[in-house]
Amino acid sequence: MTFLNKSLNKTPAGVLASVLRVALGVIFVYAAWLKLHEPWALFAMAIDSYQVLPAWAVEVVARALPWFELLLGTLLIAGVWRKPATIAASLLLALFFGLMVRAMAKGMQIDCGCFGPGERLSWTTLLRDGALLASSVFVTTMALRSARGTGQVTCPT
Amino acid sequence: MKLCIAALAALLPALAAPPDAHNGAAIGDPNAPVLIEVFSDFQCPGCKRFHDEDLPLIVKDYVATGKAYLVYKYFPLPQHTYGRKAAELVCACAQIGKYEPAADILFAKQGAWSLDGKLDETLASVLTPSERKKVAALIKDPSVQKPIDRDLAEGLALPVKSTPTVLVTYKSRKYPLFGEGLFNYRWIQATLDDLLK
Repeated sequence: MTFLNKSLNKTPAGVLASVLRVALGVIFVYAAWLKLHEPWALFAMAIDSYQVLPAWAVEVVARALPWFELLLGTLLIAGVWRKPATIAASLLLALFFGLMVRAMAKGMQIDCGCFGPGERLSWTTLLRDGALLASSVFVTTMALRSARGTGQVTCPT
Repeated sequence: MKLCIAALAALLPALAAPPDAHNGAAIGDPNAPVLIEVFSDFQCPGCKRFHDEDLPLIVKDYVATGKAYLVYKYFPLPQHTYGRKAAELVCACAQIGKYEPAADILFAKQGAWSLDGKLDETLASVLTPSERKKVAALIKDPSVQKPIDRDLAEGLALPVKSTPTVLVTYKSRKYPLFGEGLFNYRWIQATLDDLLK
């Protein structure tokens, strides 16, 4: 397992990116565990409250998304498939953020669905998701830079 | 709620139980494994929808079968002019064993009394003249006011921020349900089945 970014781990930004990646991974695993721990239909109810998917799709997402979050979180913590994992995390968080902004704009009084049932969508949840998204975008940018950096000419001693 | 009444006929032993702490606004077996508490306002359109569409199914599938105990919680919203008075009247009706017919008629005719405030007249169709007198005498009684205030306090502590909010309790774990997803019975059914399996 690679916990630190090999090519950038010596810079403060590289260390920060590695710490944030692991933190995001832990958060994804925690969110997945909370959802998998409860009846899946509670998460389905939260997804359905956003009113963006038909019922059959709500069920598919409610059953599959926690497992995907678990996988994504594990990859982020382990630091494997870093580029696709960080891109996937950023896209997923951007999707969540967009849905939350839409629901807030519509004045919906709904369950956030972020960390299991019972958490109401609010400015706090929106800010939290925004912070996670910003962190994920930073980690993704660093991962992409690192991937590009591996092609540089080196001088073996 | 006619379906409820038919389903509840199978529950005579439980219904014959002495009045509970919920002042008649509860149905089913108090010892059922699942407790379902519905925080609702008689003047709220979403509560009417839940009462008319989901509640009869919950009663048929879970309350009448002894799997769940259903408790109505009075949660009149301050922005609803007649919400509190409706709650008081239904609570008074519950004291004389008429919770269900009173709640049913108020939800059924919500569109009319929400505009003209004729709650007493609306309830007249489900009460005898003597029952109407009893309800009129009870309405300012602490036995009517206290349960409403108690339910409101419980709801605010939860916190209930929209109605209806359903609180499902199973093995001491509480699951607050609210939002648009609450109106799709398949999620309620799947949740309860998952808890009970």
